[in-house]
Amino acid sequence: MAENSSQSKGNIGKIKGFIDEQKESPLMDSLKRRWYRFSKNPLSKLGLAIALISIFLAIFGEYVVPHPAHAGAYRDYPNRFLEPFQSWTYPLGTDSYGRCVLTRTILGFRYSIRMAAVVLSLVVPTGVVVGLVAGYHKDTWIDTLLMRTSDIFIAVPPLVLALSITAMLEPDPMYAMLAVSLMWWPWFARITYNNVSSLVNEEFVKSAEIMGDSKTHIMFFELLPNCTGPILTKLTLDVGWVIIIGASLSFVGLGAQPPTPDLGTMVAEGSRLLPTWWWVSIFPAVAISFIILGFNLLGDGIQDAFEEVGAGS
Amino acid sequence: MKKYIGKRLFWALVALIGLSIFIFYFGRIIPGDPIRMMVSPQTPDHVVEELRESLALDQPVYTQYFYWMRNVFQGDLGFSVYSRRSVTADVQQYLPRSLELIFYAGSVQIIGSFLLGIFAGSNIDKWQDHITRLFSYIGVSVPAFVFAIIFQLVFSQNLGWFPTSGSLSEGVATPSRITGFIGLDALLSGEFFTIGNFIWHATLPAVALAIPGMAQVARMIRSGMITINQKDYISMARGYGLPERTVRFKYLLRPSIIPGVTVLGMQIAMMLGNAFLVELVFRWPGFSRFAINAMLRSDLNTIVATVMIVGIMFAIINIVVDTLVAYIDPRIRYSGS
Repeated sequence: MAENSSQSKGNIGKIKGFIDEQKESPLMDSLKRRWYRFSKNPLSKLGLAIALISIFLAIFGEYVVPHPAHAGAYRDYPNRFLEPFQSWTYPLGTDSYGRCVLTRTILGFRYSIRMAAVVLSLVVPTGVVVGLVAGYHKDTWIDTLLMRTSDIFIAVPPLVLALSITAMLEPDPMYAMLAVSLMWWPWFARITYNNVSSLVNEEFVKSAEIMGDSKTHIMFFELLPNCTGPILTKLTLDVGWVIIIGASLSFVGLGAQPPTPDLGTMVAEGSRLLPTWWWVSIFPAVAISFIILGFNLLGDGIQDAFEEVGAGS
Repeated sequence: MKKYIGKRLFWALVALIGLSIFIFYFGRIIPGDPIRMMVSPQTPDHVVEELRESLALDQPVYTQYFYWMRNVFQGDLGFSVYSRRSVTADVQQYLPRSLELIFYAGSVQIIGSFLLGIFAGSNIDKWQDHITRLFSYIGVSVPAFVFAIIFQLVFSQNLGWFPTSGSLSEGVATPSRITGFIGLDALLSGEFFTIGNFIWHATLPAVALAIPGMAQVARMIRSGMITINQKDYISMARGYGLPERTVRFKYLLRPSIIPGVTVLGMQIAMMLGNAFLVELVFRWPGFSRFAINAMLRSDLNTIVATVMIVGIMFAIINIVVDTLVAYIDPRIRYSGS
């Protein structure tokens, strides 16, 4: 891991490289132990399964669904409002345009998962870097500036700021993702900051400083690995939160626009057909909850895996 | 303690000012002419320019910001393109309804989560515990607007126990305005039927708002009770032969609710966000529903006002909760100040 910076430092670098090599097997060992802790709870495995199914459907949805053509503005009025569980052609019934609810629900996974993937891949690196820098420079002006700036974006519940920003732009899933990202990074900055600032005065950081390692090296190779557990847990749990916010934006009408098969949009459209044609909105709603449940269970499992190991060492 | 609250207030104020600058600038840098949205398309150009000058929209953004700030302190939040009147008037009309709903939902959340948490925490690994866990997973996974829709479908449309929408039945007169809060006004003027009718209407939205947070807080209280139950001083209290009730309520409960109370504050603050969706589903005539409709029409002044009002409420809730936690937890009270 640390070859680049250690090669230039001669003997000390060699010794460090040697130590790093020796660490390889304990790493595997701890991974195994973590998997053991994780898999002890059947709910965690259920969560992993649901998460994997959701990701699979998000990527390969089109090849699995019975009626791929029903994704867009398809119309088949003779077959509208067919009841669910009556035929194999339309297992979950049809909506007001005669489109298969099952098909559209499965295709909706893509928009929810994509939302979470885009937002988290923007937010996690940003937040973690800000948290690392602020935490390493604890109690200096850098800390104050970074953390107080991040406070601005969490001074309002995430949904309200996301709604406002998307409303000022145009209703579009792209803007919705940007808006959610803009107010989500502070949470990762905070969680990293809290972990880092409690570690800054530990001996391993001090010894790295004495050995003359650069600040960047200390932040990314000494401090960051010690925050993986909480960050990974937060990341998994946040998949659910981001999907909720994304679905809420679509539900209000500020996210994906019909006829896009987005789950939030489908619930919103279907809620006008309640109570007679309940299946049009209830099945997408169940699907949203299913994805979120999966990632929550997975997140709890990851937390268990890391907490137990952390407590032992 | 006072110093601690003072410091919190100061940084909350800094964050709010930062937020106002951010949201104000963001609203001004995006493409689109606010004047053109206010007037009809046929308005001649010189009228548009006059209006632009009179509203200071021809000035640089920071000048506009200072004008806006000055007006805010004089109680003027600007003109709403959506409602065609002052945003201040809209806030005065709609905000009390929302606050009432959130107050009701908050009470449901606090009582419900404490009961559930203690119920589960006193019966670890028995069926009561498993039921609570199942409930909390549902609460965390199901979005608030889905709860709202399902409640509406089941309890009002199928079972008919509760009204589907609104805050008062048709024919029930709104009590004369004293404070703007329907429940309080009705109480002050002694119209108990109106209060009942109002609570009947508010129950489903309040419960739909309360459930997601209730689930999380209950779990925090449960795990708090497990942790504290393993402490030596609890065993000692039991060993002395103190009655179980004394042990549980005097020594066990107070330290175990602390993490729950911290999360509770977060959750009540989250309700400010979820209220936007729940009010929409139940057509609750509150501020959030008004704000959503204004947002869908890109009404800048209302959006900025909404963000700032919610931000202020959020800050107040956070400070109150932190103070409350410090009050419950003597370790913070004595060391933190």
